[in-house]
Amino acid sequence: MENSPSIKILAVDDDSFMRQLIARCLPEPDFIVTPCPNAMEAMTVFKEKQFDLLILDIMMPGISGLQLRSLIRQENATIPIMLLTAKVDDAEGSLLKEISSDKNTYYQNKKFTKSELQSLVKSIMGRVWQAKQEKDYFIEMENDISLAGEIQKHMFPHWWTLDGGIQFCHYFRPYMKITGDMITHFKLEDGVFLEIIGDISGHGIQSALTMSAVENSISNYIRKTLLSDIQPHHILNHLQAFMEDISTEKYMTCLVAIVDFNVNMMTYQLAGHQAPIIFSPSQNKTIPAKDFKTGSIPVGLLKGTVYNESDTGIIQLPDDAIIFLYTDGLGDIQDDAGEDAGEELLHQLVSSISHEGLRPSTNFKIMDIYFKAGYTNISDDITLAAISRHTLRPHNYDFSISPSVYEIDQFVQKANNLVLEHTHDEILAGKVEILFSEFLNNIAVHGLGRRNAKRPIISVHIEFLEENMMITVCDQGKAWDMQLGETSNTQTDNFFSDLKNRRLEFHGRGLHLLKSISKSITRSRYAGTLNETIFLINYK
Amino acid sequence: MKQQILDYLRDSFGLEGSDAEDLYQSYVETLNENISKFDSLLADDNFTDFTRAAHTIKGCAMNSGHQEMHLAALELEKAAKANDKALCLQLMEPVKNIYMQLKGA
Repeated sequence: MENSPSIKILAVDDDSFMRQLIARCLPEPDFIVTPCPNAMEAMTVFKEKQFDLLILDIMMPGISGLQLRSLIRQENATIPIMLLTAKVDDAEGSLLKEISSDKNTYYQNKKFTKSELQSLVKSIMGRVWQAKQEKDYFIEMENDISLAGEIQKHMFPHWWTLDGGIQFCHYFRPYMKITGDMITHFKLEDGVFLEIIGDISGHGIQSALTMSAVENSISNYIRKTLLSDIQPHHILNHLQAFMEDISTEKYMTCLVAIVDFNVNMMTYQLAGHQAPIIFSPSQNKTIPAKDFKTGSIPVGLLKGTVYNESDTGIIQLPDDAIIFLYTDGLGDIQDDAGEDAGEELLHQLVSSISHEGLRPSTNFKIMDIYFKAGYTNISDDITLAAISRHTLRPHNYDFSISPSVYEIDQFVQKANNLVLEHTHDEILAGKVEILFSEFLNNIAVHGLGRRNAKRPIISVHIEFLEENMMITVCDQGKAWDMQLGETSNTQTDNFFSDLKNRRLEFHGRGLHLLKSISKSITRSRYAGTLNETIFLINYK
Repeated sequence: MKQQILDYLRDSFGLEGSDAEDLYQSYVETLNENISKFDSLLADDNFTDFTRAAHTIKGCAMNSGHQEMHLAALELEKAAKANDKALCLQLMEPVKNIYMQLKGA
């Protein structure tokens, strides 16, 4: 009890002798006893003050000790309660059963000594404090892991990027809050990108820490190396040395690829990792797995492993190639019957979802089908990334916007100019400007719950069709689950309700405004992560 | 008899001097308060409250080391629980007598 706080006790007994006895057995400063003569008074005091423990007499006039316990439990489900009774002496088995029906209730025979009572109280509180310490420890650990997960997200590339005519997007889902998967997308020169996807063995904290260290090591390596000298086997050898240095028992399957879109060539090396899926929408076919070099063993699996240039493979890419990189967590997803999704499904989904080319939502749509098909039992981290040339049809535009007020304002102005340039309609340009301003700011503030963040980015696609324009916005904000009402084919959620209420309160705009500008609004959510909102706007 | 109780309070609860005396007085008051209800409760056939009164006396007597009263109250509580009026009338006499002896001490 040294250095322990006083144990605050509410002692309820209709008999003043017993109240006095309890108070004298549990003296200050170790204990602070508040005596109470009946249940009604006890409830009032209990609601007003904080207690660590309650001592209740069972047999009291009016509300009994057991009835009082039920009332207390409505207020507090866990506070320990010690029931005092002489009735157990009477061999009432049913009473013992009732006492023990609550796991936080303890029994003390009404005939006790000071040391017996003190010892029971201390023992109960010892258990309670230990449980609380353990709970606090786990909460702290959970918070630390959540923070680590958030930090890891910042180590990943943006979920969709557009850089020099090349687009990259990825979906990742940690098995726990943190991931042992890693993905690197780095521009070596115009049209040339370094792609690394890795999967640290196992999952959980050790894998996540190793992943973070590896990611950091790769960044350092890239910084210190002449970009034109970077080769897949150099990177693997660097990682092998790094894994040996940190003496981890973990190893990593890895795919390192240098994709040169200038000459449609991919130079790669596989270290125990599965080959990418390379799909050509125009030919509707993938490069067969047999065309890929097998490569070597995972990085860090065997000490002294050297990765040789001779294991590097070269693949000629179709013009419209979409390169899908993924970790084996995807193939390991199981349905309720315990059946693996397998790789065949992924191949089928790749060709059916991306037949019109890679879009920001492609990976999320693929994952959405997995989940909707019942493949929901996840046993490992999942990463699915894709890279392709970004070829836009005429009158199509893509934008990647950070969810900050400043960037949104910049974009809104840009959108106004774009609409004006295409339609020469100042009123329409103004309307679209207002639509973007309303909608994107609401995604940032309400959907993502932040005002000046850099991520997760919002993607915007604008397409000028013959009779109307189509705007597609993808964001990773709140879920959608309610019908929008009059507007056809439209789904929405509380986000829109919030938007409606908030905006009507201040400006009378928001949802009404979006609806009045748009011919239709379609909303979908993919893989529980990505919202896709499509606005169709008539020119006149 | 009083000394026996004071000794018990000292040995079991570490209470001495005025602390023990206060608790002893509290015990006597509890006995008085409950025993004084006996006749009217029994006249009204109110066995619930009669049982409770006997139960309270029993509990206090246990913790006062007043073995004689403890046993007498225990028998009375059992009779009251069984709604046995005649037995209650018979068994409340020793309880009253023990109380009178204590008071006299």
